[in-house]
Amino acid sequence: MLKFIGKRLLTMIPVLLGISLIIFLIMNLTPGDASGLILGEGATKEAVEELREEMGWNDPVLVQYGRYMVNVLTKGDFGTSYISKVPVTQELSERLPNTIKLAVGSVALMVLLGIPIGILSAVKQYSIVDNITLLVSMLICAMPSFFMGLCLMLAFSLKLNWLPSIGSDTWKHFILPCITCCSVHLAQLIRMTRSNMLEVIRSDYVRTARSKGATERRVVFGHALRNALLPVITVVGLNLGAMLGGAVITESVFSISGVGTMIVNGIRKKDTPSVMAAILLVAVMISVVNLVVDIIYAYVDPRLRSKLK
Amino acid sequence: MRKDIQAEQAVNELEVKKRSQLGYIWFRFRKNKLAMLGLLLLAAMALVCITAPLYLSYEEDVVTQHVMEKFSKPFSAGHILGTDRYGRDMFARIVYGGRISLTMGFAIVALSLLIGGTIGAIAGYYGGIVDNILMRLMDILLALPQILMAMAIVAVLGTDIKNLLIAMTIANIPKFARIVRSAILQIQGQEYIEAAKACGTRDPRTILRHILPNAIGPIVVQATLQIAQSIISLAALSFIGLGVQSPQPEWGTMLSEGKQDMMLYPFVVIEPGIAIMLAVLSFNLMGDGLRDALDPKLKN
Repeated sequence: MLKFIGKRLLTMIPVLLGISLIIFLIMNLTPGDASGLILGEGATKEAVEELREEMGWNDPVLVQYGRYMVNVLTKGDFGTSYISKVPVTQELSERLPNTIKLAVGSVALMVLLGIPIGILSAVKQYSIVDNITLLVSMLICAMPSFFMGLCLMLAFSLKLNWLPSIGSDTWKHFILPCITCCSVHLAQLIRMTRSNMLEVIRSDYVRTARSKGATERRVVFGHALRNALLPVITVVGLNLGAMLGGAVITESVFSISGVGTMIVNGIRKKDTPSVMAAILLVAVMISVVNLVVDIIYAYVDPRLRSKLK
Repeated sequence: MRKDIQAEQAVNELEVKKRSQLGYIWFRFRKNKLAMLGLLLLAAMALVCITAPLYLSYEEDVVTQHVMEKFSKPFSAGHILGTDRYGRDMFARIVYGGRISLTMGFAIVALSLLIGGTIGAIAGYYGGIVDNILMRLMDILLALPQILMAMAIVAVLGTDIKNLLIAMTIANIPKFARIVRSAILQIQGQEYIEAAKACGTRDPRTILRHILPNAIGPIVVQATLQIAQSIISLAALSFIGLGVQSPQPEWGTMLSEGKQDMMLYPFVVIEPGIAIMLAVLSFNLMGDGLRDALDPKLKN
């Protein structure tokens, strides 16, 4: 098991290096630079040239990348934001909690609602509950998160005035964003849980359990559910990554100051240090989440566990 | 006499059942009501969008501002879906937005399928070190959420339609490389491929004539579903201001413009939102229907 984890951690390194290189190239191949941001509008040509020399922007891109990575790896220094003039790490640490609250809240909501509804829908196949669930999840699947966010905001904050619409001060601010962020994935999870349950319920061992007189409850929770949940774990894991990407959109709908809004603002204003650090952070989070999912999967599935030993 | 007719009918019915592979797929697809609903919905939308220049003028109805008529209610005279804050007809803007969204959806998927598919086919067919290098590259691209990748590329190239197409295509390539690769790996071990190779068939021909037709099912399904995703991603980019720029109408752009007026005039965000949902829904329904039609075993 340790060997497996170690190997996975090692393969993360080239992937992260690759991402950092690609993003760095993308940000630096763009014509124009951030001198306007730093010096303000109407700076003289000499001042701009001096700044470019000072920041090392006149060096070849790969040299700049090398210098950046050396700073990151040896000193943990991700540079200073061109816009706010604060060290990027500081800004990230202020914004990260909001993104994490959003992500954790969404996942919790997705699992707590998705799995029970999926089971109910499968156990009562073709009932009214099942049909409504399928219809609603089909519609939600087709709903882009920003439209969902606007609709929720319109209904619950502007019309009903129950919840705040923008910002990230209290836990109430996170209710609508969490629903927005998880809605599409929730719908997929419901459909996935349902179809897995249906498959398992028809299997021989469930029929055996029924025929020996086990109660319906024991059949569903003791025999069927455990086997049906295996693929669901993978889906949850895969969705987590997509959710972190989707958080970028959700954050900008609800004006939450998180990592996502930092990326969007940074890209608009060519603030390379902020964008680099924020995107790398997202990539690291996604890689770690995927690793954790793989470990859980190996842990839950005895067939895989014995293979790894 | 009657018996003859019955016999003839029976023969006819038997003949009906002799269908080509494609015919069978169409037969099963047609029986799926939801899938047909998706197809009809898409056909209707495509028709309205393609014929738009015949009944709408881009300059007059879509771009020109008529401030006197701003925020007309839906179903008011001359404006079925009302007008926005500049008095521009919502219906005209949604239709012209649809022209962009639907074309871009198809174009993005076609291009990334072509490029990503080629990469995946080469990786899957040759295996070994080629496979390793290509797929590790794809892993790097996949490690970032698609929308972030597209955002970064758009930021470099600037926001116009051509650059959006390039950015979204690049962001979509790794997904298709993976799908095509795994589809090819499944066929690879079959005996008829070995037979083709033994006959001295050249590699490109083996891939295109022998492997691809047998692997096409899952690829078509994924491509259909991916068109829906691309429409959403494009609208999302426009929504955060990195996509299609105003005054050019696009569903995401319309939503972000309408955001400031949604308190008093909710229809300015709800209408383009529903347009996106209908488009995405039609592709999703068709994708699901195709999956069932292509592989009846999967259906419970």
